[in-house]
Formats: sequence, C-alpha cells, structure tokens
Amino acid sequence: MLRYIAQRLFMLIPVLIGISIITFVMVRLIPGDPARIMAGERATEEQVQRVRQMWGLDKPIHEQYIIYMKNLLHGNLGRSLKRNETVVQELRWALPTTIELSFAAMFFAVLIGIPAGILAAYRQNSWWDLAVMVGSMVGISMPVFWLGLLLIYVFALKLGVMPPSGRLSVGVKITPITGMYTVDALLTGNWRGFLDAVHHLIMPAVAVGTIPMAIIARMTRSSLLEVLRQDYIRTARAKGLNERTVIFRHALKNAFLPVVTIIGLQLGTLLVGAILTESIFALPGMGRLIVDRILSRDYPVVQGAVLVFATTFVFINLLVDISYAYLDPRIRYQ
Amino acid sequence: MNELPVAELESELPPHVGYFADVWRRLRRNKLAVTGMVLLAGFFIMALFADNYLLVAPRTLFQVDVSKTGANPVAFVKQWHTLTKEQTHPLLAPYDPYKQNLVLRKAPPSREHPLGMDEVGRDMLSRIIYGSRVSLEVGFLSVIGAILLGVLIGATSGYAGGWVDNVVMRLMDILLAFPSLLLALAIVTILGPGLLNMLYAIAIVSIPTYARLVRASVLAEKEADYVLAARATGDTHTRILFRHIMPNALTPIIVQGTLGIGTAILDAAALGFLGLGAQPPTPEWGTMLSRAQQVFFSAPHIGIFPGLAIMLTVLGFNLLGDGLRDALDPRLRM
Repeated sequence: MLRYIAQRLFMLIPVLIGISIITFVMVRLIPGDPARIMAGERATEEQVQRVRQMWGLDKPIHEQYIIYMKNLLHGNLGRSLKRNETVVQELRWALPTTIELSFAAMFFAVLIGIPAGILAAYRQNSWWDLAVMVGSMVGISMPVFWLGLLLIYVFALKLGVMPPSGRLSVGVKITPITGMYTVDALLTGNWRGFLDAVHHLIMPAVAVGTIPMAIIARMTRSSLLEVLRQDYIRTARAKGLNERTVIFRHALKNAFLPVVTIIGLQLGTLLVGAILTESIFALPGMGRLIVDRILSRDYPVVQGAVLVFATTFVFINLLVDISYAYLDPRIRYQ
Repeated sequence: MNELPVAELESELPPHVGYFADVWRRLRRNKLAVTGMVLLAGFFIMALFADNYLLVAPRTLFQVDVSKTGANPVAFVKQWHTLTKEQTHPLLAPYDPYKQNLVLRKAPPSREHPLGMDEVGRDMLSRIIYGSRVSLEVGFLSVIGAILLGVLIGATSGYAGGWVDNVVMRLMDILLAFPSLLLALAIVTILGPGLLNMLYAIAIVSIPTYARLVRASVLAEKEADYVLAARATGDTHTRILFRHIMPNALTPIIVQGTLGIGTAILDAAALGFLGLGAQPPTPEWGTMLSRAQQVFFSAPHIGIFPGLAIMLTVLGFNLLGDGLRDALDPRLRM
C-alpha cells in the first residue's frame, strides 16, 4: 500500500509542473507588457518597475520561470490588485468555502442518488424505474446556474423557507478556524451557528449536487442490474432468500465499486458547479473569486486561484485513487 | 458423411440488414432516443429557419456583382453574405430579436408575445429562436474542431508508440488535470471574452477526451493480423492508420461526440452566464440568463425560458447519445 502511494505521488510531479507552467504561461500570453498586466492598469511607473523586478520580467523566459517557481515554493503568489492583501491571504478564506460547498453537494448527491438507483434496479421497468431514469437524464442536462436561480425564486422568494444568499444570517457569528463554517461552529460548540450555516448551505448544495446525483443514480442502477444477473445471485434466490436480503446482503457490496469510482470522477463536476453557483448565492469561494477577478482584470489573483484550484483538484483525485486501492486490492498489484 | 443442409440453414437466418439500417432500426425502437431526436429536430428547424436566410441565399448568389469582386473568393462570399443579409427578415421568429420596445419592458407573456418581453423590451420568443442558432453553432463547431485535432493527436500518438506516445499522453494528462470549465476560463482570460474565443476555449478543453478515445482504439487494433497484412502489401503508414484502423474508432467517437455537443452547449451557456462568452446584444441563452439575474425576481419569465431552452437542447443530445451508445454497441447487435 505504501509503495502504491509513493508511486502515485511520484507520478504527480510532472502534472504539478505542468499546472505551474500553464498558469505561468497564461499571464504572459495576455497581450501587452506582463509587468503592466501584473501591476494593474492604474499602477504607477514605479509600481510596474517593482513588479518587473520581483518576477524578473526583464530576464529571459526560463529564468522568469525559475523565479516564479522560487516564489511559489515560498508561498508567494504576488499581491491582489483589488484589495490590499496578498493573493495567498485572499485564497486562504475562499478555498474552504468552496471545499465545504463541494462536500455538502456530494453528501446530497450520495444521499439521494444511491437510494434512487437501488429503487430503480429493484423495480426494473416499473414506473419508479422510468421516473428515476428520466429524472436523472433531466438532471444531467440542467444548467446549474439556472437551477440555482429557480431554487432561490421558489424557496426563498415565494415560500420564504430558505435564505436567498450568503453563508450566515445577520447577527449570527462564527469564530473562523478552518474557514468551513459548519466545521468551525462544531469545533467551538456553537449550535445556533451550525444550524444557521447548514440552513444557508442547503440550496447551493442541491444546485451543485444535482448533476452528480443523477449520474450516481444511473450508475447505481446499471451496476446493480449487472450484478443481479450473476450466478451467485441466482443461487441466493434458489436458496429461497427473499429479494430484500438478496439485494442488500449479497448484491449491493459488489455493485458499489463502480459507484465509488463514479463518485470520485464527479469531483470535477462539483468544483465546476461551485464556480457557477457561488456568484448566484453570493458565497465568497474560489469560483466567484476567479470569475470576479477575470472581469476586473486582477490577474495575480486569477493566476494564483487557477493554480490552487487545479492543484486541489489533482490532490483530491489522488486521495480518491488511494481509497480505491484500499477498497479493491486488485488495483494495488497492477 | 452427410452433406450439411446449407440452404435450409440459410432460410432460417434473419434477412441480411446493412449496418446503418440496423442502427437506425434499433434507435427507432428506443423511446428515449426518439424523444431526443424529436427535441433536436425542433431546435434544428428553429436554428435553420429563424429567418429566411437559407431561402434567400440561392437567389442572391446570382446578384453578386462579379465585376467588383473579381476572382477573389473571399470578397465574393462577403458580398453574397451582405446581399443576403439585406434581404432577410424573420421567418419562424415573430419579431426582430434586436428590436426594442421600451414601453413593453419586462412585459409578461401575452398573446402578441407568447414568452413575454425581456429587460429592455425585446421579444423573448424571437430571441430564444435565434439563440438556438448560436448554441447549435458553438456546439457543433467546437466538437468538430476538437474531434479533428483529437483524432490527429490520438491516432499519431497511439500508432507511433514509444516516447512520442509518452510525451503526448502526459501533455493530455496535464490538460485533464484541470476541471474543464476552469481551463476554459483560463483560456478565455488569455484570449479575452467573446463568442469566438469561447468557441476556441471549449474546443481545446475537449481535445484530450477524443485523443484518449482514439488512442485506445488504435492501440487495440494496431497489432491485429489485418494490419500486418496491409503492411505486407506495402500500404503506407498513413493509409493503414486512416483507412484500416480508424474506422474501428468511429463508434466511440460518434457516441462521445453526440454527448460532447450537449456538454459544449452547456459550457457555452455557462461562460455566457459568467459574462465571458457571447456578449450582449447577441441572443445567446446563457448571456440572456446572465442579464435576467437582476430582474429574475420581478419578471421570472426572462430567466425561465432561456434556461428551459438550454436544458431541452442538452437533454436532446444526451438522450440521442445514450440511444446511439446502445444502438452501436456490437455486443447488443444481432
């Protein structure tokens, strides 16, 4: 197992270097003087000069990359143009917001998707099955941002049961530790804060989680149907076991591995969903940060945020791979 | 030894059916796929006949003043386009999608304007109909571009093998390390917002998927006996690759391409929604939704219909793609 992890970590190195090159090149491909671009449109000549010096922008490109990497490894991503903060400071609170949203969305997706898939397979070709299949097809085709707007309209404006936006109600305070408010509230034993944070998290999580939910439901259904056709299931039925025992005791365990795989593959969908929904629900996460700063040409933040976002994605994928290897020993010995 | 009753056996075999006839037959029996085709047919008709451009074009072909354009084909086409544009008027769309009627701003659906008016008093139905043109164009062009490049990269890489394959596939891995929309955002950051740049971004982002698909097919086939036979008869590498091996990769490409158009339309709408895709006043569904955000709660129809249009188009491609996957699956063919 350790050998497998070490091997996977080693394979990560070229990918991480690739990500750093893409973000490095990104800013230099924008038409114009890179120093001017990184210092901002309203910067004085001195400020531009300082940025040029700091990133070595008057040196040949390979030296620039070495300087960029040196800064990167020292945790220096430059300064934000819009706020008097470093890029790292801006990202410090944006990243946990997005991670919290993604986890909540995945929780929702699994909570609904797996039972729906089991139900559809259990009653194959029934109305239930059709409803789950059609529903999941519609779910996959749904523009996330549109779903978000509809949820706000129905549940916040018409019914008034959900808060329309933000992370907390006015007057509720949470001491930030990790930046994930639900976790922070639990750590400080703040029940009121926890419930309020969860209440604010529900609608964005549903919006982001709908596509993964639909995909998980479809995968659970087809995987379970596949397993139910196998001989050992026929044996179990022939022994006279009732259908419930056959499905829950015998079939589900083997049907779950492809489902776990698909859950891992949905992480990209979740992060993309976060980009699209954070603006609608006014959540100060990575997605909103990137979009806002592209529009206001705050390129140091865009560069840093893309870098951190992609790196996070790669590492989460690694964790998913490792957990498969743990679940399925065959993978380790390939 | 008895002679085999060949004639008898043959009469019991089902009549021979051609490949495409067989695929079509099985597609037609799949209710969900038929639903998808009907949806898509509707949107295609909307896109083609939003105005009478296609009907006017054959006539104006003979009105181009050749004495002015000379032998320059670009000038010829340009003048042809301008002439046609002058003579077109909305056909399926009841109104000009750009024409504003400020008195009727945000007017709800009525007999004259079945889907209501948008925030600056343009007919929503006309804008949705013209919008199908933008979405289908972006979907098809970006996927065709991605397939062409993906096939070239994947086929060369898989056929060449060795270090070429290694380098190319590591590059593709790096591109896949980014969630697709994030990479599209990075590309749009470099190129700047706009319809065409968005098209490039979406195409580039989906290249790795096709490259990997094609490479896998090539790897599976390249050691086959018929390839050896082709080589023995003196066929060139290019001919072997594209005449003999590539037809095997066609099925996965068709399926992935159909689903990919849906994804591309969804991505285009997302970029439009974020303000980074098609710019106003272009009637693009995502851009329309982005504008609708501010007025969504006072005039929900402005936001509901563009989202519905996106969803139904994407649903159409997903249903058809799924149906095609089943219809083209050789294991299910009789």
